[in-house]
Amino acid sequence: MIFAGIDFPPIAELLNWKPIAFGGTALMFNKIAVLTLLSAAITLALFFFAGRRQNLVPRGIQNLMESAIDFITNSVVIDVMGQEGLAWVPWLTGLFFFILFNNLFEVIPFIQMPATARTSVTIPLALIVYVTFIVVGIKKQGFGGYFKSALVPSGVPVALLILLVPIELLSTFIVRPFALAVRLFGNMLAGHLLLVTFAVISEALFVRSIGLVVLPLPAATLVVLTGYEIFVGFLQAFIFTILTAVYLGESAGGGH
Amino acid sequence: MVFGVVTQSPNPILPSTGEIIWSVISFAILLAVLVKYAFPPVASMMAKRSDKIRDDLEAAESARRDAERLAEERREELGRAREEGQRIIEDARATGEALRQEAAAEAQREAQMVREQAQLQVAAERSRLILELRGELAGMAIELSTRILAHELASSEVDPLVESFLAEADSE
Repeated sequence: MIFAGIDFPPIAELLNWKPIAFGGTALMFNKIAVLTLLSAAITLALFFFAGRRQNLVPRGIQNLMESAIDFITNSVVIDVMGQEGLAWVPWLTGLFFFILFNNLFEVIPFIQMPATARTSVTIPLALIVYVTFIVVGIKKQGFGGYFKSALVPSGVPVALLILLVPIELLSTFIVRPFALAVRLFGNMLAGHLLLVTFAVISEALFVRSIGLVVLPLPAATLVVLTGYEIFVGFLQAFIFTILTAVYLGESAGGGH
Repeated sequence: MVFGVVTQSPNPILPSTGEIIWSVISFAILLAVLVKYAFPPVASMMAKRSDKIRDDLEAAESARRDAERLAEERREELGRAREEGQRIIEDARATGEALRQEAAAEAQREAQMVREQAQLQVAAERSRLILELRGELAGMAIELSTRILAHELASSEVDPLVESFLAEADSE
């Protein structure tokens, strides 16, 4: 696409990556697959490194990882799920770091692609959370008990239930996984497109001599946006994790 | 073309099967290894540290209580020692005063005794002197009488003799 002399790549070119291996099969291995595996590997490496140190006074990576665990434990699990949610700390920490690194690949030079800007990553994650909180609910409260607590708000007149039950059904079992997947995907895709847009503009202005006059503006905006995208990366990982904790806490504790 | 990426799907929003499979595999591996192997050492270290900090705080609190107790004991002992010292000083002062008074009384007694003895000695000396004087006067009187008689002096000559005798007695 060419707008006012700027050659902007089609969105499909920014998001669909050609196969590296197993092309044409269901196991097609491309850049997104590399990134998701890499984020898992980085997370595990950081934890193994932090666990190997075992210093009484934590420093460096050990300190970083312990602070992260502390943050997930206190700001996510204890605040949202209470003490009984502590068993979920490793699970939620893994989820947080997996999403965080997949988000931060957006600003890493030569990678510059958030894996979470693909629904192929966010939809499975949302579905895993969806299945997990339903299973936890059924396990803790029984099949009938869980669906009753999830769909029938307590203390509501029977007449209103005709209206409320479908709303609860829609919000809990349909909108929740959809919103989880789309929120993360939408935010990261938007950020990615913004960065690409300003990079393309900066490049085009740099190439054309006349553009040198206004070059600092898009280039400076690109730098600011890169910083903002780092913040968004952390924020979206935190939001996904805390919402997961809220859903798990509701399922485990009886909701409403 | 800025990016050399080959378009695969007409709709970039739709998920691709391969990416779904690999992202699920990645996440599953991450969770399995993290929960089983990578997370527990870090968490146990944190728990150990919390326990140690709690133990240290408890030990510090107990040490502080011990120190306070010891300081209180020292304070009490010091107070007792001070009272004891004060009592000893007062006893010494009272004893000293008593001794001083006793010594003064003794000195007074002795002085009185010395004075009395001196007075007795003076009186005795005086009596002795008077007696001696009397004896001498008697001797002199006898001597005078003897001289008077020996020289057979006229009565008008007696007076100058008596006068010279008395002057002699005075000079002695």
